[in-house]
Amino acid sequence: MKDKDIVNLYLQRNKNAINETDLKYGRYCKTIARNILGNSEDAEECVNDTYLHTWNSIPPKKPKALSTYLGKITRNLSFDKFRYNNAEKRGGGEIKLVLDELEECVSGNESVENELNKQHLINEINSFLNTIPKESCDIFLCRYWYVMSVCDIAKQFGITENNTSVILNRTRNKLKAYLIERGFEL
Amino acid sequence: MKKEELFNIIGEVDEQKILKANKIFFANKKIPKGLLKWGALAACLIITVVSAIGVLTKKQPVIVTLSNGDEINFNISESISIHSLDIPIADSRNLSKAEAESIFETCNIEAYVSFEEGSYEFITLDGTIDGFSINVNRKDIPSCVEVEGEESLSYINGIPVNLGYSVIKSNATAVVYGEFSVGNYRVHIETAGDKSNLEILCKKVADELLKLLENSSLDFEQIKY
Repeated sequence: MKDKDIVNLYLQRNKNAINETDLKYGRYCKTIARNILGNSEDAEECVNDTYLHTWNSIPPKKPKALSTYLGKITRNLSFDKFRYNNAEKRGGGEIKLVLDELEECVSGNESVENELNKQHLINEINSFLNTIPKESCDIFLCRYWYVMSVCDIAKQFGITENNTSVILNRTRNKLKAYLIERGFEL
Repeated sequence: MKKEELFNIIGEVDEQKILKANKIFFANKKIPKGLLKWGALAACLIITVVSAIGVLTKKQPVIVTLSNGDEINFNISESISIHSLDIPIADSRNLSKAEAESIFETCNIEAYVSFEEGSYEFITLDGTIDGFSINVNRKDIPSCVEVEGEESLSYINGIPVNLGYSVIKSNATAVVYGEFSVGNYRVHIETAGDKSNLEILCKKVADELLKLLENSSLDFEQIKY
């Protein structure tokens, strides 16, 4: 079924919306969840929660790209679940390494104070991604959005793991410098 | 700022960029053979060579519309060949009935599976499924299927699938295939037939891919030595 038709099912409050979503994007969502959580059981739970959140959010929302809409919800829920598990000292997939890498970009102290600052920061990160080579941008998002392992990224791009790590390291350093230059206190 | 906040903020970046990276997220690039060096060598499950050095006869892609509304393209390739691989196999056995039902559910499959030397992890599967050839390889080993020419990337239920076909000029046979990734594994299905039936062959492969992606768990991790 086309995305538009699935979204219409949600808008009509037709419960087939969830079945159709699962049919079309179940595997996509589960891959994201499994990357973050590292186990199938928790991933399955997060994907089910994703459908519930989607059901509760459409309407009023009407996503243009259903895949990224679902992907984003899955990512957020999986990350929440990871944090819960982490507090309980259980599990965790690739995300631990991803967070350690991102830690290099931040001080660990200050918080983004309000929604306005947060949106400003998102805009600047978008601008930054426009300034770097496309391949670096894709590698960056594969690692920090999709939480893919360095090994998998290297294979997909046909480069070595070392090269992938170097690209990620350089991109993180550039991002940090870019944001500091624009007045963000990371 | 805390690292968790930065992770959340990266989650909000431009959807178009995420969509583009999505192609990479699921893509199926083949690893140049020379990059992998295997210590111990044993015969791979695919004993030989099937197939097919093809020559271009016409260049237009075959477009198939699936029952779910997705439109997918099969591009013509210069050639498709399946060859034996030298990979370190510890042991092989038939796929059990229980595994077949659990992994492929409604599909009718006969295959054997092989396990890696040392780790005894499942590494490859070879056989037939609903009349198609099927090959599953762990992604860190090179594909035994080599395609020369342009593949096309289409989406079935949001999953990127590499599709293509080749025509063997000598006997007018068309070879049609589809390949996608699931977890740590790469799944390749293929069929062949008279080139005058090319569109029907593409439609059959497309329907089988849809069936696999919609109705099967494809959880290869459960195959244990």
